[in-house]
Amino acid sequence: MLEIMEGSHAIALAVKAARPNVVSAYPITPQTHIVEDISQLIADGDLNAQYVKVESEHSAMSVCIGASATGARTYTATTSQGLALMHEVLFNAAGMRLPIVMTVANRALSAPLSIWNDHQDSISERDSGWIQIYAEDNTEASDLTIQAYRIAEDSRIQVPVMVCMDGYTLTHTYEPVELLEQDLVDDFLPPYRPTDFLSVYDPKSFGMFADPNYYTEFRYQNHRALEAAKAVIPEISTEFGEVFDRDYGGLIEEYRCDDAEYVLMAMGSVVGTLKDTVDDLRDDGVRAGAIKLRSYRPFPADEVRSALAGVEAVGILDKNISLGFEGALFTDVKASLYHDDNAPKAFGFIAGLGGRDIPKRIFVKMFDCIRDDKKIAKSEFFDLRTQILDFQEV
Amino acid sequence: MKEIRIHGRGGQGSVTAAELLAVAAFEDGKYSQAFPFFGVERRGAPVTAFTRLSDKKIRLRSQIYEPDYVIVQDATLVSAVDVTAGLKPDGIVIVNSEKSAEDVGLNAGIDVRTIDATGIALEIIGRPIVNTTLLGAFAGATGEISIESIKQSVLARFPGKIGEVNVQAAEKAYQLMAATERKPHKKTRARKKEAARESYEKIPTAAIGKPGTSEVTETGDWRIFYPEFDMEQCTRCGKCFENCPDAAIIERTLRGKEADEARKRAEELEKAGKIKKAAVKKAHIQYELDPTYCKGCGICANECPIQGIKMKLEEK
Repeated sequence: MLEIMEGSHAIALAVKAARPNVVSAYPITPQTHIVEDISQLIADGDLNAQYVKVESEHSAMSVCIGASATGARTYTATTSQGLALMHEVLFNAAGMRLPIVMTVANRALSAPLSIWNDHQDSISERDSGWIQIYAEDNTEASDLTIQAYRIAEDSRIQVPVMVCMDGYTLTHTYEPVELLEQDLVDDFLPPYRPTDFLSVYDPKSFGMFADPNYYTEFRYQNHRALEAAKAVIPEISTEFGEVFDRDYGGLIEEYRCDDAEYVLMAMGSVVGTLKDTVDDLRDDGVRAGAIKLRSYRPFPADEVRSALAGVEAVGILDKNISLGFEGALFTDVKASLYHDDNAPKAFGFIAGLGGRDIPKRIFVKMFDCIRDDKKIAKSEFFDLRTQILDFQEV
Repeated sequence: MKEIRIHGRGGQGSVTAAELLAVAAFEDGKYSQAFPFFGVERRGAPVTAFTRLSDKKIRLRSQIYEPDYVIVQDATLVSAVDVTAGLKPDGIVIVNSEKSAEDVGLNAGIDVRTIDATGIALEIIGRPIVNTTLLGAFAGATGEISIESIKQSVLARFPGKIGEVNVQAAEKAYQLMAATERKPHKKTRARKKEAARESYEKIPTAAIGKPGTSEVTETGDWRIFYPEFDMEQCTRCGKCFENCPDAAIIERTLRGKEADEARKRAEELEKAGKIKKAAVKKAHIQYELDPTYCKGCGICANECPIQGIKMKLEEK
């Protein structure tokens, strides 16, 4: 059933439906409404969970790690500087193989200070060992919250999951959202029953010391878990589709790609605008298509390669940049195509940083660019205001 | 799809208005989407909010550049922001103003409807919060959303008495606007693009700002109410001066003849038992408003220990 509400509220309701035992978070724009709504649900007695107030995001994640190690289902949410402050403990959560679920309300990083959306915060936590899935709209973000627990708690995976949703563009947007029926969620997501957990009756140590004889093997196992998630994420998505009648198709979503000559790839809410652009171009006779990358880690190299088979050229939108090189997705897509003799030409576009809007005309310009085979060696800043730059070429 | 852009100032409920429009459209059986664009999150600063209405699911996520309708919550924004930017040729602009459509300063070729939403809100709600009144006006002027759904969405957000008075204000604006007529769109040459207001000032290497930006930002534009000081009752405690967040209260020390006159007047008042002796000693100190920066927040009136500052509605 559809109901209209703010994206943040939809996430709070999804968290409630997942029945977490412990929630710990520190408020930060644009994540604030999510944790405010959750603390209200707990205070009103609508959600039976313990909300642990903390003095920082580092502590919020630490609380989740401790709670998760006792076998509790845990939730937190953050963004930007808050996620950066968690950096150290994110690796602990993954290394201890704790199935924590976290919403990242994507936002740019300082300096200069920006409260607006891009993907630099979560992209910068790429190697923390967490699964990262990006949502296009608020229903998908809400549904992903439930699926994230199934993925994280799956005995083949046991890795924490970030559900990434664009700050403001999704978190602060009112739109109709498909509600999650509690009885269906309860069937789909049974209570968390780990084999290993902290207990005074059966003492164990989590996150212990590993000397050079062992460290590599633990990292390898963490890596294998993310690799395994490539099969588990679509499997759980399909199962979710059977129960809730909404299937998002796993690691990537192909949009009008079947006979496409020119394809743009992107992550997050901007994919909606991209799909509308593809429809417009199709009406004009251009064989355009779009690929929505849902899972950034694990990176679906095989799926991307097969989706791009037969495509003339692909453009990759990055709302992030690895300074000194190029956009993170662009690197990964090119690496995925390296052994493919018939790989399409690939173009990288940096745009939409720090909340700069990406309207349809920008996507049209990107399609024009890849159709004209404009030579771009590296990622190009696509919406740069060169008028305000006073730049000396070196 | 219909696209609506709402211009307001922080604290006027522009974002809430956009959300309530989306909720009302959903009640009417449509798909809808509402989202804000926050600049600086401060009471009084210009804010933009957007609503889309459609019969189909809305995927588009960009801001609205070519609106079908524009709602302007504060007529002073007309001179500060290009409120009609990109307006569709047959678009409608609804402006909160007691002036006539011809006098608000917008191009003659545009279908402008004015409504004294501040007056209606003050009369019915008792506060100058105009967003719900303007939603009634929107329903009346455009017919895009039913007034029943507007009322429902207002009541759902604000239950009880506060919701009811807001509904009454919306209803009144609806009736007034429903009586107005569609103005045929006139083609005018003057609708050429306004010169871009963008600044092309070069940026420094790092994000290092210049001091004194609070001098450049004339926050006086944001004011709806202004404080009126009762200098006869004033004890010169200086609380208003200390607490003003914008340093918009000027403490002036009178000298010479002016000071003598002020002291004489205070002595008379003290004799008549109207003020305390302490006030006489400091009669040469005067507090004045700096209208360029006073944004009408009312903190001074709230802090004044003798309730000697009254917030008055400013004629605009």
